[in-house]
Amino acid sequence: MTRNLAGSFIGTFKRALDTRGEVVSASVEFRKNIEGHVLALGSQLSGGTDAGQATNVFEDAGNELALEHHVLSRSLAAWQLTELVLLRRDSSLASQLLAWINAFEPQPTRASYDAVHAATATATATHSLSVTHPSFWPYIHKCLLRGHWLAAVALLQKHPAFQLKQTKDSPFNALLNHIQSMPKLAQMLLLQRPSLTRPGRCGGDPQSVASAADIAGLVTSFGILFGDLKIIVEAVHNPDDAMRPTSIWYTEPHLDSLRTFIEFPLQLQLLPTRPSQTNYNPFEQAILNLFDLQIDVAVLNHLSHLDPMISAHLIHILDAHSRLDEAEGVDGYVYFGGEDAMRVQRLLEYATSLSATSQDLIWIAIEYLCTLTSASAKTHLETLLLSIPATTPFIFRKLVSIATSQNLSTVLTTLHNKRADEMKHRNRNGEAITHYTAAGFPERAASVSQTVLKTHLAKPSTNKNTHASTHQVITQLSPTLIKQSQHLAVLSKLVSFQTFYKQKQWKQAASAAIDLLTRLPTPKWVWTRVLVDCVGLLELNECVLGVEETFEVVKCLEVVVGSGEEWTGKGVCEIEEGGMDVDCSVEKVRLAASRNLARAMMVA
Amino acid sequence: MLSSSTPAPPTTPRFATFNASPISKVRVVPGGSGGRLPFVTGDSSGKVTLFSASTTANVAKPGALYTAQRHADTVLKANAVTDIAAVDPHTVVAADAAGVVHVVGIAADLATLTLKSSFNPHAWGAVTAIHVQSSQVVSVGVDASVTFTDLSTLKKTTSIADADSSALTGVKWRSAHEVVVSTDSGRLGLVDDRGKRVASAFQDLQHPDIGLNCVAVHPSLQYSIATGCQDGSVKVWDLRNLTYPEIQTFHPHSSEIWDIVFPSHDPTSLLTASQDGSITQFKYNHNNMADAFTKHRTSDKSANVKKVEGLGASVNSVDCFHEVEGLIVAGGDAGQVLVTNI
Repeated sequence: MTRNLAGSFIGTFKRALDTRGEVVSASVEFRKNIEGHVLALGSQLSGGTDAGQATNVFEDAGNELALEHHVLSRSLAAWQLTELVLLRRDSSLASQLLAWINAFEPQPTRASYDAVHAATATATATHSLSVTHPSFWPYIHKCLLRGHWLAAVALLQKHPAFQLKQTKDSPFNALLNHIQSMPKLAQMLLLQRPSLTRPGRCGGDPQSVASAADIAGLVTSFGILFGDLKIIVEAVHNPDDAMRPTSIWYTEPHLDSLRTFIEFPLQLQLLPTRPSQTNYNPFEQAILNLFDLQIDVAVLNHLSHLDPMISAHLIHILDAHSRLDEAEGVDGYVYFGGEDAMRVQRLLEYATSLSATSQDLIWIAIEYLCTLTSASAKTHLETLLLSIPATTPFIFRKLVSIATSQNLSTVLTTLHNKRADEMKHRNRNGEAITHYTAAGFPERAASVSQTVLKTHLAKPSTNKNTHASTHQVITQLSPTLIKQSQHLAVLSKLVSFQTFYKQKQWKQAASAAIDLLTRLPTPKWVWTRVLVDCVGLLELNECVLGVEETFEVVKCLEVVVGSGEEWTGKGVCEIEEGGMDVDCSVEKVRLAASRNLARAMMVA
Repeated sequence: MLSSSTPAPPTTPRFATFNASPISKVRVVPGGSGGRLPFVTGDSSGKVTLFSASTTANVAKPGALYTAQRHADTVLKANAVTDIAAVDPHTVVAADAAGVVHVVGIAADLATLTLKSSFNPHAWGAVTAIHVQSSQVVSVGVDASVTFTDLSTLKKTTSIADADSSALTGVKWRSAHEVVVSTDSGRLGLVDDRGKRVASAFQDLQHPDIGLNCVAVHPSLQYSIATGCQDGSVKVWDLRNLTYPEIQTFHPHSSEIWDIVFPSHDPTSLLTASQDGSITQFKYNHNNMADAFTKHRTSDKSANVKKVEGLGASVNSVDCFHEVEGLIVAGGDAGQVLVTNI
């Protein structure tokens, strides 16, 4: 029989792997197969087993049928619970769980019901307002805790109070009405909560509340229905009774009841300790035991919408206890999440839901994505980083820092490029060059550098604005960056030349001029300007340019003349009053050079 | 460096409270009394919120956790808050990403925050930092200008354009007329509000490319300046020799440092907040000894290095309460507010 079921299982799943809807259909079909088999086994068992009676089928080794019935019944219960939690979304989870509990959990025993029912009937017959059977209210409470509304209503209606004249507002009628309207959101019940400390406030005939036991019973009943933690804790006697109300009522929670959902098991202190856990944390343990009920998916989904921080904590706990590890699969089973492990998939889903939920959570989403190494996580991270506008240097630095640590070169390129464009627009050329270089666009950096150089030389050196702009560029850039760009290297040396010239540090100025003409890739049009300033150096009283250096000056002059470069006759340095002419011809440069050559030879 | 494992919210409550949006700045408001220690936060949505922590002790208990109560908030035109400075117990100024500085009033009973006035000290771009001394507000921005404004008249008294070639990231008053500014390109500048240009500029030639994110001035030794850097290091500058200032470098963090403070009760130490999600308090010294972190590892239980780690997201700002020794407040990207003594 088992082999037939296994065959049915594999066959069903192999036919329906493509779409979620088909998987649901396959699951339902397979479950019905099990159900049919369970019913068939049940009918074969002699005596008709009472679902409420406990039998230890494992001790009765000879009864293989009973054993198979027991195993398959439990399998059916587990399968249906898994199906309605993980696969089905078409109706209220609370009502489905309720139906599941009523179908598979043993009811309070018939014998105990009969005893209470009989005692109640006696009290009714004698018109006694007090219910003498001590199990009446405990039985009602047990039914309420487990969601057995019909049993609770049936018994409650046998209370003598209902046989007497009751007003609509009496607490008995109120309790009956509330039970008959279950399941509902706890919030709605809280809004309708009557005050039970003063029975008269409930309205109606005070005589309808006949005894202290009735009052206590009513208080406890309402407390259970409204999710009053203290009352529920006092009413339960085992963990199963405690967990049922939370799993039913709080699977569609609002925030207040959600916090109750988290705190409830902790207050209960009824939950077992996992022996393998060395650092016992009651709060974490409570969460883990909740997830043992296998309603984790529904809870996580709701929590993500309601309070992402609580959800973050839960995911962390699950991860820390290896509950998000990759699921083992049956042959042929494909996990719907794709190739990623469950942990990675969960965290990825959670992180993307965070960023979609609110812009304020985007940094938390980024933190989660940074811990994941999968390609899809990197893609999400890139998208998130580029979606954040870098309106301040603070945010820009954050984005760059994260992109650098995660080796996201595309993001870095985009960020630096955008920044460079903005700075270029604002005429902050130094920052523009830095960011273009960081973005990996050396040609754009070179373009800005050339613009800066031309701007610098277009205006007289006494122009303060030009100096400020050039100074800005030079001081912004690191020595490494200056060396990498020929325009910047030339600009830097040019500024040095101008500074020495102005300060009348002739030897240093001469050295800078020779560097510009011979050692640096100075454009020819800059040579024409530098050569003009060399006239001032060549005609000094002291000989600052030696024989070789003078020859270099002449050589450069001839190269410039021969290249057809336009000779402007203007220099780059500040000219003193009474100094040489503003316009300096090529012949003047040749004359000054030949005179200096003669002097230099004599000095040498 | 970001954590390599799943971000870990603390398993026991460690935060005083949470703000809805990421917090960019936390500043203590002076003059707390009656056991209430007020502080304000500025967040990415442009909201300035007033909180207060409660304690009657004069000295914060090491490792103790304090809660904070939210009192009031006000929204500054929905632009992210970039810096906040306290003027007096009833006034703070807050700068935003649109380049506007706002004057916010605090009611005596802490019940309300009122936006009193606003002004634009810069030509364009965000205001990155502000500081207040007497009735003068100094602000610096992305446009690299330093502007001095009189709070009583809201008129600009001095503006120095192009104080540096890169964005200015931090500013603090150093003396009656001088401020110190930190820049994105790693320079430290001194600016006089009576002058027209930057008086002096310094750069660490050993690490010229490391930008500075924040700056702090020693409360009594004005030549001692501390800067938090983009590589997680802290530089302590000794400006007694303006020609050749000395620099000590420490490495308390693995990622960008966003805020740095000289604790008022112990200015021989520095308090830093970092992108790596931790807060560090460490002793530095003036005697040019080796980097404290070469001797003291993070596991060192000595008083020289103290850390608060595992705070999840980046910690963007930190400040010290003056009324209670050792008590600090910090805020970060997850909206977390931490009030503790590390």
